[in-house]
Amino acid sequence: MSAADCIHSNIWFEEAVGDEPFTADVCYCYGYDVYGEILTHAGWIEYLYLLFKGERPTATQARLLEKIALAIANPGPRDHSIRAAMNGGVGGSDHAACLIAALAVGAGDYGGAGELSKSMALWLTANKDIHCLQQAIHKHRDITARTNPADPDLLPGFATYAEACNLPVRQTLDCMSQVHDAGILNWLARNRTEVESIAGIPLAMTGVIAAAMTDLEFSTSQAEMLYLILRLPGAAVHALEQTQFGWKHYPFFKAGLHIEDDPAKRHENREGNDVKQQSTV
Amino acid sequence: MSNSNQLYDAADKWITSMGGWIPGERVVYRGKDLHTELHELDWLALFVYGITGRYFTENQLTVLNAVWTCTSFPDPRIWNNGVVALAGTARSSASLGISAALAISDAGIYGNGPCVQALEFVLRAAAATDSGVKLEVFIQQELDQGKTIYGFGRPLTGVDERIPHLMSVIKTNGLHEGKFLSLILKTAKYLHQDRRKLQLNVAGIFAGLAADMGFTAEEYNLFIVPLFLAGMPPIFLEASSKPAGTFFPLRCEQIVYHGKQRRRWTEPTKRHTASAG
Repeated sequence: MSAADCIHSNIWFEEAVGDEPFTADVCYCYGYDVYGEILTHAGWIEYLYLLFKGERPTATQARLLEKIALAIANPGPRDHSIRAAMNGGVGGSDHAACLIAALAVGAGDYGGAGELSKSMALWLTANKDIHCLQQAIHKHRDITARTNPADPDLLPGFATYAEACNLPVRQTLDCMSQVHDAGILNWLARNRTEVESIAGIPLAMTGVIAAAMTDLEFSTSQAEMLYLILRLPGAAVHALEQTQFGWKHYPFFKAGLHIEDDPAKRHENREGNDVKQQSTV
Repeated sequence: MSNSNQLYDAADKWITSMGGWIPGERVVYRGKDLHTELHELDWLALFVYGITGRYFTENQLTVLNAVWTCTSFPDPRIWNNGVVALAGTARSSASLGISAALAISDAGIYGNGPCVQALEFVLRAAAATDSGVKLEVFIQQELDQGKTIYGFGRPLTGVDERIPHLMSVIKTNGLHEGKFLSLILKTAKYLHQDRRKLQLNVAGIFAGLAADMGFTAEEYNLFIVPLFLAGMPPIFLEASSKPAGTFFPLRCEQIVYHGKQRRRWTEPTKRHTASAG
């Protein structure tokens, strides 16, 4: 065994079974015995927090992370990532493929993990100051106009196409700001309408989750990973459900595709013109 | 206060200039009938037509084909290929393993990321030299700004064994004197003289070629999605045919732990009930 062929970790350590080097007898996560102690004494959310942060959460931290997990566990079958998973399910694809599809789509800058981290960056820049937020949004829109002219209205953490902040977003913000009555969540709950007025569009669920992730002091990379993981339950169950319903009961938008530059129509038009010209002659 | 009209306009309707399937009749592919107008194209020609909407010459296609061929390493130790081997050894499926491997090929230190960055570099360099800036000055500015010059340097080895073979195909097909490829080769000379002694890697050559063929960064990003694909099936076949779990199995002691000492979960921990942070 070469020393170079080792995995270095601050997270995980294993003790092998007697003389069986390939089988672990005891596994430690940040120094805690996973199967000897954590399994018995901790909850899933506490363990999840430990994995990402290396320390046990406080009661408030655990409760806030649990609320995040619950709020985003199922964005519902209209969500793009869930639709991707259902496209897998309806065609009878591997379960893993359905989840991979959800992850691939759910990584995006519109509604996905990409948007979440950008929203966190916006909250951090604003630093609970309306004036700073205004400047940050202005700067963001300036950059977007240059780098992403196709999506001038996208603003991370805000609902581009909504008329008003919807009830689930308000309920989630309200619930989370009660669990954690400080930080960005609390500031956002108190100033939501002013924030929305500056943005020109309503707050979205990604904005609330980004505020919660920021309050939990997750890095943007950690938050993106968590966001991707925690939205998978909905992808899984909707994919499984569509496998049962089958493709005949799943949207195909049969009449929805409008092909421009269709060669058959070009030929038809040309023939039509030829006939017209002949008749004129 | 909203842009909701865009959703109303798009509901139940996808207007496309890229094409689609008229069930039971025909397929339209970027303004052409797939089965009567494009059916004689080879797969690579169709692929680049789909990306750019342009037809490429035989010489260009030969060189583009060589780009893919020269990156098809059936070595399971390379990070993306390792995913294929792990899928095989873990008895997962070929499509899962290979699609995941292609996804991670969009990496930072190798693969799609540096390839696209190299293209962006050569486009910037050309814009600078077109405006009268000397190439050496431009490169030095990039270095002074702390930018990585993609297309130069390589993990594990500085030497890129692919370059002479690819250059030979490029010369044979008369594509060696393109403006952007020439800029890359001049950059290589300059960087080799620099104290860092950065050597050209094949991503630099690819970038010069792609720019000479008129690829935009977005088009090039799509072209290189299957860059490593042909190296992967042999890896899956072999890993699947050997006993399960035997692809470089790791001993417990191969995890070198640098973290916290052993501690008890039941020990009280510092609680900050007032703050989530």
